[in-house]
Amino acid sequence: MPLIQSLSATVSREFQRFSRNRNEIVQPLVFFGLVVTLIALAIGPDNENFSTIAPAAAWIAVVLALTLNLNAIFSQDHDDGSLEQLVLSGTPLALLVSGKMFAHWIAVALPQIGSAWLFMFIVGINADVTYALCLSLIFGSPVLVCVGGIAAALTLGTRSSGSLVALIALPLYMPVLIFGTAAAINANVGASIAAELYFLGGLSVLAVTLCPFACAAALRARVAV
Amino acid sequence: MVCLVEENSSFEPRLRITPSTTVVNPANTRTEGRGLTLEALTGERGLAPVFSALDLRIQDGELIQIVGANGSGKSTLLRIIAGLMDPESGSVHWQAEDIHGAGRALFQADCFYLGHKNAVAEDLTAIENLEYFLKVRGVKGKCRCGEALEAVAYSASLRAIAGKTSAGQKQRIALAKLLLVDVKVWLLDEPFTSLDAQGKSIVENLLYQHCRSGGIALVATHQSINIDPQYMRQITLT
Repeated sequence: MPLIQSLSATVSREFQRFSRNRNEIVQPLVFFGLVVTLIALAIGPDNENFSTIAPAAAWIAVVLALTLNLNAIFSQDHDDGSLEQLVLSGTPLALLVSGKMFAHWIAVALPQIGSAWLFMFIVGINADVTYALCLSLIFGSPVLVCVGGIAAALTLGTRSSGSLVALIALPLYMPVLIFGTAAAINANVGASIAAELYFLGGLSVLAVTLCPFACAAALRARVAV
Repeated sequence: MVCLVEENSSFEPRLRITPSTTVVNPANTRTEGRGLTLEALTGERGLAPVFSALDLRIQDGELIQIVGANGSGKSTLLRIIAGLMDPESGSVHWQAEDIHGAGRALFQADCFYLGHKNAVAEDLTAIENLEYFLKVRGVKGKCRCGEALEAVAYSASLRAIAGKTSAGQKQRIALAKLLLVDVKVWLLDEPFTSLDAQGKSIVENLLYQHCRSGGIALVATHQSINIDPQYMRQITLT
């Protein structure tokens, strides 16, 4: 039970922090809005391929917006010394990391999915494609947060860590992006999206299971510097 | 003063112990299996050695004040003892177990480390900070955070976000943790930072009570610690 207590305390602490730093939620949402707007302006909403491009644009915007504040998962704890206390707490660090990433997914990734739905609605994409996009984001976004968490942990405390996180994480996001957009494209032509969702779901299970351990190892290494 | 560095060490001796010291026979200390023992401990920061072949045996009820110039390795020594860093060579034993090996979990449960960063989350209140600390350490029972804050003379509002309070108040939040965990070893890196005379006196009293009840404290500080000298030894890292 103490482990569950530690996990729930970590999640609720992160929510408390997000409730007091709402800009960490709002900034990625604004960024998402700007990216999809720029893409829509660039290709033009009258473009006959827009219904194919819009889900891809939404996926790219979500990926970039999530990458924007991955640093926030661990940077505060590193800066104020709390990370050292977590490492020495006796509670498995991977468990605490899981709690932090789960809270980050709820507070930052889920609103992005809502924004993606809103964007698709505004630009008039049909409901099946929107549904496929949102499902693919729900299945794929845990991978983005977990893999991004490793990048954030590896670059913690380094100069220009923000750009380093993007350089490490974005190439690793490619499979998720490919299958995520493929689901929406399939939905657009009336094909099944099950294969893509299975793949994304499998990746998510793998990421949620393994990434916290990798993250914890990276954090221990950073603390030992 | 006695130099505890091996004479054939590759660089200058860095540790002296005052006013009196005992050269430890590692074999003896390990068989006794009590207290905290440092054996031929060498620490590095970056790739540069900061102290070498440090032998020290700390018995129950002792306060070790670590002094030394900036960069002499005071914080590195505490971080190695806490288990945050591995030593370049040598070992730290707690109850006859190597704390960087099999005895890590045992020592972590018996030790509280407070670094020069005070581990106070600025966007949480004092109580929220302390409650989270206790939950993560697996401390059960009712949180007596209010009493602990009162004991360290925390005078800001309990509803205040820590980031809005003064540096001294934040340090008091960090020090309140000492009262909430029942551990044998305190490792404190510059605990008097940002504290006024009253705050310093409170910490000295906490240290005195801890040592009197058989606890061990290692404190890295440039400031003098006014407690009963019978509990205190000082080591100088040069």
